Amino acid sequence: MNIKIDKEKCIGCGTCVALCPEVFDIGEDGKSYVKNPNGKCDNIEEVINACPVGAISVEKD
Amino acid sequence: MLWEKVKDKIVKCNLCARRCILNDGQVGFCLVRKNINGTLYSLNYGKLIAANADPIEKKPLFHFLPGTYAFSISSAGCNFRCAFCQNWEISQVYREGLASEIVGETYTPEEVVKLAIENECKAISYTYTEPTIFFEFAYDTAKIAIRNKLANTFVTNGYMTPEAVKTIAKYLHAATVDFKGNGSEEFYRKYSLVPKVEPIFDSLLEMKKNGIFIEITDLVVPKIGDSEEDFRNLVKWIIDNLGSDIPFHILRFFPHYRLSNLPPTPVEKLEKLWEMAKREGLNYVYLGNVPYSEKENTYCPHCGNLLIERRGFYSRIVGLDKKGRCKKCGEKIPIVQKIF
Repeated sequence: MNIKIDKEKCIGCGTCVALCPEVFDIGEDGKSYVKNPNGKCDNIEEVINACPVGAISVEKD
Repeated sequence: MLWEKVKDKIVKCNLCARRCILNDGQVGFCLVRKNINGTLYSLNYGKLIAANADPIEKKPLFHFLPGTYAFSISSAGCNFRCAFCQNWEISQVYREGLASEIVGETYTPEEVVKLAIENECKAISYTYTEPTIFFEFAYDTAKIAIRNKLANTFVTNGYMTPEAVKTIAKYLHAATVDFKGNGSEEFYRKYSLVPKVEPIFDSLLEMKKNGIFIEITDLVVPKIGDSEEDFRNLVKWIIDNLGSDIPFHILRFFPHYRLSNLPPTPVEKLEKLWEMAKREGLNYVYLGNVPYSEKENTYCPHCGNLLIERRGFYSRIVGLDKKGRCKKCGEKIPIVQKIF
C-alpha cells in the first residue's frame, strides 16, 4: 500500500494515529507521517474518511 | 487564548492535547477554532446551546456543594468523537453536517452569571459537551462568577493541555473528569478517535497540583470497554496519585449514536466493579445511571453511617454535621459544603 499524507493539509490531530497506531505516528513537526506502510491496519478506508481534513490518500499498486 | 505562532501565518492550538497545527483558513479537529490570517479565533464564543439549572449531583458532583443547583452551560462541538456519545446531536453537530454554521443563542458572561443567580444556583457548570472547546467563554464567565460568589465546575474528558488547566485553575473550583471504557487506550483510540490517554492523567495531576476538587467517572461499555484489568489499573492509578478519598462514579452505558447496537451495561457487571473499586481501597464509590440504587448514597467509610441519601438527583444530607463530620463517629468526610 502506498499511503500518502498531504503535509500541507494535515493538522496533526492524531486521528489516524488513533485508528492505526502501527502505520501512523506524529512526527517532530507535529504532523502525521507514515511510520510503517506495512503495519497492521484493519480498515484504511475508515482512516481516510475519519481524517478531518482529508489529508490521507492511498495509491493502489 | 492558548495558541502560538509557528511560522508565517501558521498557528498551533495549545488548548487541548491534540495541539492542532493550522494553516491560514484551517479549523482544528474540534471544528470551532479557526486560524484567520495568522490569528486563532474561537468561533463559538458566547454561542450557547444549553443554559439551565441542574442539580449539581447530575454533573456528577456528589462531594461538592451537595443539594445545590449548578447553572449549566454548553456550546456545540467537541475535541473527541465518541461513537457512544449521548449528546452527539450537540457534540458532533458540525462533523455530522447537521449545521453549516455556528449554532447557539448568543449570551454574554454577565448574562450567564445573572441567570445563575436568578435561578438560585451556587455554581456554574461548563458541561454537556467539552468545556475545552468553549474555553474563552468559560474563562470570562468563571471570572465574573467568582465576583458574585458562585463556584465554577468543569465536566470534562480531561484531554486538555497542562497550560489550559493552569490557566483556568485560578477560577475553577471543581472538575468532574470522565473516563470512558475503563481508561483503556485501545478503547479511546477506536471509539473516541483519541491517540493516547496519557494527557488525561497529566490533566488530573495538574488539577490536583492546583487545588481543584476532583471527582472521576468511568463509563463502562459492555463487551468493548469493560475489561476488569483496565478497571483495576485505573482505580490503582487514582489511589496512588490522587488518593483514596476521590469520589469515583461507575457509569452505566446506554446505547447511543454509533453504538446503538450494544445492550446497556448489565447492572451485575457494575456491581462487581463497584466491589472491586472498594476492595482496592477507594472510600467513595458510586453507581451512576442506575436509578434508586443504594450505591448512590454516601456512607461513612469508618462506621458505615448513612451520610447523604440520594434518589435520582434528589439528595438529602442526613448524617453529616456542618463541619463535614460523620454525626455518629466524628470521622472527617471530604465533602465541600461551602465555598464562599
